[in-house]
Amino acid sequence: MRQYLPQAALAAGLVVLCAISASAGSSHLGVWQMLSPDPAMRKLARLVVVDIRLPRTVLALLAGASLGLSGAVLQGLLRNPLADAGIIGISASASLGAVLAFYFGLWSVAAGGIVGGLAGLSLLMLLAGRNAGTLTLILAGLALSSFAVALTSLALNLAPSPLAAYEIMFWLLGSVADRSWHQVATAAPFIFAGLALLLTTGRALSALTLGEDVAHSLGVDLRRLRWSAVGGTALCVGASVAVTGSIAFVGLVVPHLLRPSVRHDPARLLLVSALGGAALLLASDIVIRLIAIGQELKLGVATAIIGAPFFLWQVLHLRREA
Amino acid sequence: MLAAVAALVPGAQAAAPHRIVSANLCADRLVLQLADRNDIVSVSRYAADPAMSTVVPLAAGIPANREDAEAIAALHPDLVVLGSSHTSRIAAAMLRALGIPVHIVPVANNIAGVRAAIRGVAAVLGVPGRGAKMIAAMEARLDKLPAPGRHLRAAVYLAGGWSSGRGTLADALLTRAGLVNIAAQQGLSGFGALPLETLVAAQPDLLVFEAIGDTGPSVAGSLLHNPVLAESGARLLNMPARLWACPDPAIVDAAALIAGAAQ
Repeated sequence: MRQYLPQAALAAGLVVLCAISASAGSSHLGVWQMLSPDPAMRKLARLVVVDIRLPRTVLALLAGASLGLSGAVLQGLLRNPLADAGIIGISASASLGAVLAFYFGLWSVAAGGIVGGLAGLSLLMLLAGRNAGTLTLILAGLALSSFAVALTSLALNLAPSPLAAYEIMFWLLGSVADRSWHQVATAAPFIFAGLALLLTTGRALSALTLGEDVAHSLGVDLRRLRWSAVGGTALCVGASVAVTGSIAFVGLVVPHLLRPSVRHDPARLLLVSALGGAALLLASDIVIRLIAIGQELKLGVATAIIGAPFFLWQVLHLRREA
Repeated sequence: MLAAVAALVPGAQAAAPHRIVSANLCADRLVLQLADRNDIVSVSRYAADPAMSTVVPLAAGIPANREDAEAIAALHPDLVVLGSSHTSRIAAAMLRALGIPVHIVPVANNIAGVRAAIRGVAAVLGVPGRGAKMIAAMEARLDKLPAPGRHLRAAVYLAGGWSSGRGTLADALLTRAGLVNIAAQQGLSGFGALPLETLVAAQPDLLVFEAIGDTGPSVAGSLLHNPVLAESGARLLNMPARLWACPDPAIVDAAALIAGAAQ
């Protein structure tokens, strides 16, 4: 029974956060006003709660779960605590794919994000190899990330729309504000498929902690594991980046914080990381809404402000161990 | 002797430029309407773009330039008219260092600003009378626009969820049409983000979107297609950006569209 404690606590936390998210916003309208005797007030409250706050809540949950879960899987697969979709350049390549898809009409935006993420991850695996050291992985990720960001800027410079310059900010800073249900529906099927694929990797990741040879002798299909991890990450991170822009550090911080609560078991870490990522992103988005006075802070900025010092601390910690 | 005195008097006919280069959309629009056509050497490539220019026929046949100090200097202009962006100011500094006179068209934040911009360009072109005539005609047309019966609540909603607050030309035009600008009322000054929720909760009567020709898809633009905006019950007005992007008489057409939608 006790082993389900972290999951239950996180799920309960998510319910509370969802309730706050439905009530918190830049206007003073509340959920209860949907029951107001005044029909105009009822309509307004329904519009604000159901069509403005709810899509953003769902999007924060889905994107947060994608980032948290993919972080846990990538850290397990690469046996490296600094692996995260943002740091190793997957978010940036997914952004590039989505921008290409959007501006030049090559694919749907979500498909563009997925293709971009897949290309980025494959390139990274080629560059850094399977058993890359931390340094190699981070450097390869940095190169990939800078390259993808540069190509995104280039694509936007060449795009015919005069709004393109604004999009650079949109993609690099990430946000879930003011998205419509239509945008949520575009990404959701791919995100669910990706999450499902990633959740199947638990047992293999546990075996992998004993080393590749032992895992192999335990009957783990390493090729399949790698492709599930890469494909699942590309699907869910790619599709969420296509709608939210890239949001950094969630995938790095969440698995690390939750690892002790599941006694460092990579298999049990997966579900809690998905729940924890969803909770962290939704909580960040609520904080942004509450502190926003005049200008709205971008979600990606908020997660980076929390995440970057954590990343530095991780680096120092690793250096001390070495 | 007389010629020497004339050269010392600012704005005197002798100083009127005859090789004018304009390298900014707003500068083009004023120069093309105020200067003699034979005196215009080159205008920006936007002057002939129907999505942004209001004077496309006037630009026909005049060579286009990019806003590039080196290329402009090579045209040997005796007056360069530029916009007020940061890159423009860098080009202006370079041209002035080469001894070429430069005039910068300021950004207008209200109708008085539009008058000042027209007056300024007319003065450097040596045609202050044409400027005064343009301003008088603009004022007369503005005064003829109908005023709405009641104070409707309006907001400009731009791609990316931005809006025009206090101290913008759009705010001045909304206010002059007798409307209440929601963004200004919410404390927004200049251009800035207006959260969708704040906008909807303020129950707008009129939403003004800005359209820059046929721009192709953009994520920022897709925020404008949020069904919430149509469901809010507000009247929707598509404002071609070219009408209020520059300090010139085209703002009357923008004001007329607003007045029409507010009836």
